Amino acid sequence: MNWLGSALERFAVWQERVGSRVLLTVLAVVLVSAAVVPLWWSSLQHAQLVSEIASVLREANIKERNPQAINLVDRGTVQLNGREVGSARVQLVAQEMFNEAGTIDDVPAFASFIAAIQAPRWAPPQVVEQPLLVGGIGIGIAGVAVLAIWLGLALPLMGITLVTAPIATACFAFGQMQLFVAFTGIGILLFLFLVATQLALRMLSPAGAITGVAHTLLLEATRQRISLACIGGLLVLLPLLPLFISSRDPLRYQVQTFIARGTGLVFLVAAFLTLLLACATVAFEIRDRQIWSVLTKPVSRFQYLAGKWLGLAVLDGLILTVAGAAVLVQVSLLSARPAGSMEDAAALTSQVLVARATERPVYKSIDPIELRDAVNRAIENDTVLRGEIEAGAKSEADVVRQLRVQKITEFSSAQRTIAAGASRSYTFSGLLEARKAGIAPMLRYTFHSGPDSTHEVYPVSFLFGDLPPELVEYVPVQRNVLGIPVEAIAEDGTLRVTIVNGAMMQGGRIIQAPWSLNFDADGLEVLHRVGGFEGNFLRAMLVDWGKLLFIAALGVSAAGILSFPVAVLVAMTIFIVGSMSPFLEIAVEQFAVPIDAPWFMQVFEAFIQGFVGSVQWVLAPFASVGSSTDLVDGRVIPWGSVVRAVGLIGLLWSALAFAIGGWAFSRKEIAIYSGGEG
Amino acid sequence: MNPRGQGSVRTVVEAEGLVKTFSDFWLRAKARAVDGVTFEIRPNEIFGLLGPNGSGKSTTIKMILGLLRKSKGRLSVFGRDPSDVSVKARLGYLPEETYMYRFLNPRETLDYFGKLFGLPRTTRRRRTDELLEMVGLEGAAHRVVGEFSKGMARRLGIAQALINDPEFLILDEPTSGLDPIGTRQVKDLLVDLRRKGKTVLLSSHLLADVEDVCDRMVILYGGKIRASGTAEELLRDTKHTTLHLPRLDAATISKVDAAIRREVGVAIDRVETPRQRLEDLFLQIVDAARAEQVETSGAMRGGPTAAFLGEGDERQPGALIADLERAATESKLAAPVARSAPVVRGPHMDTIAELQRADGTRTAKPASAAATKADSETVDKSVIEGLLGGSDNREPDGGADGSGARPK
Repeated sequence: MNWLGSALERFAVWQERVGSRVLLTVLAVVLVSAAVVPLWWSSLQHAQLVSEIASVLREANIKERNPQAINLVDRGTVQLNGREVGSARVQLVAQEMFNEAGTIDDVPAFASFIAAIQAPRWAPPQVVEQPLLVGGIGIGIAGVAVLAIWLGLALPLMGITLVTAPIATACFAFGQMQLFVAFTGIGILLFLFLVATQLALRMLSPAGAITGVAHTLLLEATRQRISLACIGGLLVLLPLLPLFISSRDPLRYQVQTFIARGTGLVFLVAAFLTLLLACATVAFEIRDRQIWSVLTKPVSRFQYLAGKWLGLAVLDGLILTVAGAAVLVQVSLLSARPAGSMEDAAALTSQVLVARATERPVYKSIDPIELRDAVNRAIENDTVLRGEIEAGAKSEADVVRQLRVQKITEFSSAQRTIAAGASRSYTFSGLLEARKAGIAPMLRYTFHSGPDSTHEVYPVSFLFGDLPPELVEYVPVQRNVLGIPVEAIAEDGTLRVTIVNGAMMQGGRIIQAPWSLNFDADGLEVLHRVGGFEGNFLRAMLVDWGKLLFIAALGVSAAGILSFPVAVLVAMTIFIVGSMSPFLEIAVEQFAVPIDAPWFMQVFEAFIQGFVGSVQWVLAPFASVGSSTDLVDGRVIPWGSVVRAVGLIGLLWSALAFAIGGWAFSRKEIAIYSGGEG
Repeated sequence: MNPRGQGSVRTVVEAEGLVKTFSDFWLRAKARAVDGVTFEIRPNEIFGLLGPNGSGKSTTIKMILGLLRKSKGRLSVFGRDPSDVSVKARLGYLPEETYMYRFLNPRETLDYFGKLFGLPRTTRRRRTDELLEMVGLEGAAHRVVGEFSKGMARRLGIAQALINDPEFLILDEPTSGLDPIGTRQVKDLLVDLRRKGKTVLLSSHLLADVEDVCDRMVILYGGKIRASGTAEELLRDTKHTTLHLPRLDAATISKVDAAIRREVGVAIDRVETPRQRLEDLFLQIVDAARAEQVETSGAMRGGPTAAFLGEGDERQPGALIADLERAATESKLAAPVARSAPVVRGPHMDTIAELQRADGTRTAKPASAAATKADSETVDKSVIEGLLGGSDNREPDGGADGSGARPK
């Protein structure tokens, strides 16, 4: 195999010359033309034939018994310039193609059917009738080949084609279309990534410390085994992911599952790779002393770290762009699968492949004086509690604080509770655009009632504005949706929704439900379309990119002062705390030691709530700003979230990490004493 | 070493009372690697930093480069603090081991470092081509460094140290890992660079390498300077005289010895038949193989010094005369020393000249090393041994130029 390696190396050197590339370009164009032109010519002729047949079919009239119609019915043929085109198969169906008026309804389809018999067997039926498509494919393939040649990717393109094309062709031949699409997708994705990388390298080619370091990091990322494994694994897995989604599920769940898994996989791999590479590239260069050769050039320590960060930012952009495009294309292909029902198809387009804003009811706030009075009354009426305060067992301030929280919660909950047979109205605002666009919003609700048994259904009625009530049955705990008529939205963009806990009959009679119902703060919301899925997806990718920028800065800064394993530990801890901050917030709130616990336990509690709570609070935006959950749910990720993610997390937090890590790195002695050396 | 501050010579590096102490985590002093070192490096000289392992050579260099901070003392490079980034634009550095990126090939490596200096693309490309040819790596330009031998990586290290056409070149063990061909080329390169107006700091514990090229040197031990001066000052042997003569027969040697005894009352210490240096033999064999075009996958023969090095440098006053002087010295270093004559040691040269004229002995001419070797094999060793047998039984010293006499 040495000869093969040697030959490949020689070819790689040879293909860098301009003359060689011109030669390869000519060769590629010739080969592609040789493959595509015959197909295109056949396709052109076929389209011509279909057109001629169609013009004959338009004249055919079985009632008038003109020769065209007679030929079709008797022999299944049409006469074209003295020759007959058709077959016995056409005769079998010819009679049925004529309508009551004696003419043919679907002339183009029938013409295609007749012409299909004449189509060359070697030409794929899907393209033989579309010369423009064939021409486009040919130009596209030639363009890709020429691009590969001039970017120095001729060898990789050939390698990828040699590996994936036979597998894809075999899948196509055996009718395994999903596998065919998957393996074709793998080949395209791998090549696209290589092209994007080359373009990025050219973008980083200008002279300069930061661009130089970034350029080399990008080369490192595309040549080290761990990076290749992560990126290659991702680009191979993504096209195969739909194969692991059951086609028996409702289509909208299939698509949602793919979106969740696909975007989750992309971010997870990108985050893992970024963190690992950020720590490794700096820590190992310090350990292995390549950094000596860099920092003895006119490169400041800050420029060195900035270059590493820039390289990682570009790499993350490449991964998100290519993998994100793959997810988007796969969503389109998945959406083309047959839906189980009309409702399923409608739900897919209105609830999943959409960007919807969420409006929640405007709730009243408790009056501060009322709150104070309620707290005082609670203390006065509770003799046990009063006794504990007087005895010093409990602090009055703590008791008041707890009671305030309790009263506020009760006040809010009361607004979200409707007694059996009663009704309550809620006002939603911000629906002016929906009214103007004439797009019906959706009401989404999740009610709790009685024992919350999912085997029960209960009646509830909704009145939208002044419109007649709509009676529905709901299952407790489960999420339900209901369309809202556009005309219910007032001119100022507000919507009043009255919920009746029972069945509201004609004449206003109410058959009350057996239990009162209540819902959580996010249990009642109106969703209205404000954009498309593609734009929302782009924003989701930008949010992810912002987070990855911070992870990169974290890793690079930590590795500048810590060894590789410690840097990974620190960076990963911060990343995990940030990602899980919502859960940590609840955990910290609920963490409490018994009141009679020893003093060191009290101190520990204070530390957890103080330190951990603070860290969690600082890192909370990392999880809260736009997430893939919103994308899956068809909720809009606003541009404000993108600005927060990129501006706050990606840039400001990164700057903070660099300020701390960069300062420490600038003080670090890179070439430490090593005993017997020099 | 000249006292600092005398005259108006601009210095490249000034160190005064330089100290470097390494501390442990608890800030306790662990090792004093450099202890009160004072020296200066002047423009357009090759300065040697010598010493055994652990003497503080590399630590001193790292302080000059800003990789380490000094604990005490003063240190300036081009009149600025070593940590000043702008100073680095005028430096080239070859570390003691070549720490290159294993995933880059030589072309990419040099392009990267060229970018760090802000060199435009066309300049980077041109210099890369010239440097790769100079160090003999043009055939391996597209192989990743991870596949290189130590010597090939070292050559690449030398190339990257020169990519920016530095004014001041710092070489830490430059010939480490190089074969004699590479070693000779490095020495020739250093001399060439000095001629082009560069300043070089050379650190090594291979004394033969340093002796051949350095103008001035300091010798370190335990972090302190033990000796300093020019090679001539440090190495001159004032107690002996060396004569280079064409080959003499035993009878003539006897007459010479008798004459010296008569004139000055001392005897010849030792008569030696010089032999070819192993380095020269090695180079001859390699040249012959290359002439026969034997294949090799290793480094190729290096080319001439890259043209861009020293382009446009202003020559110092008196440079022409200095060049001529150096050329005379270099011709001694570069060309094989005439090996045709036995070496006679003794204090009085006139007597010998008389004897030669009386005998009609031909004046020495440069002879080929092969001829020298052949001659040495045919001499009547019994006479020589007879001359030597009464004085001592020491082995003849086949030194670099035959000057293997040891002081009594």
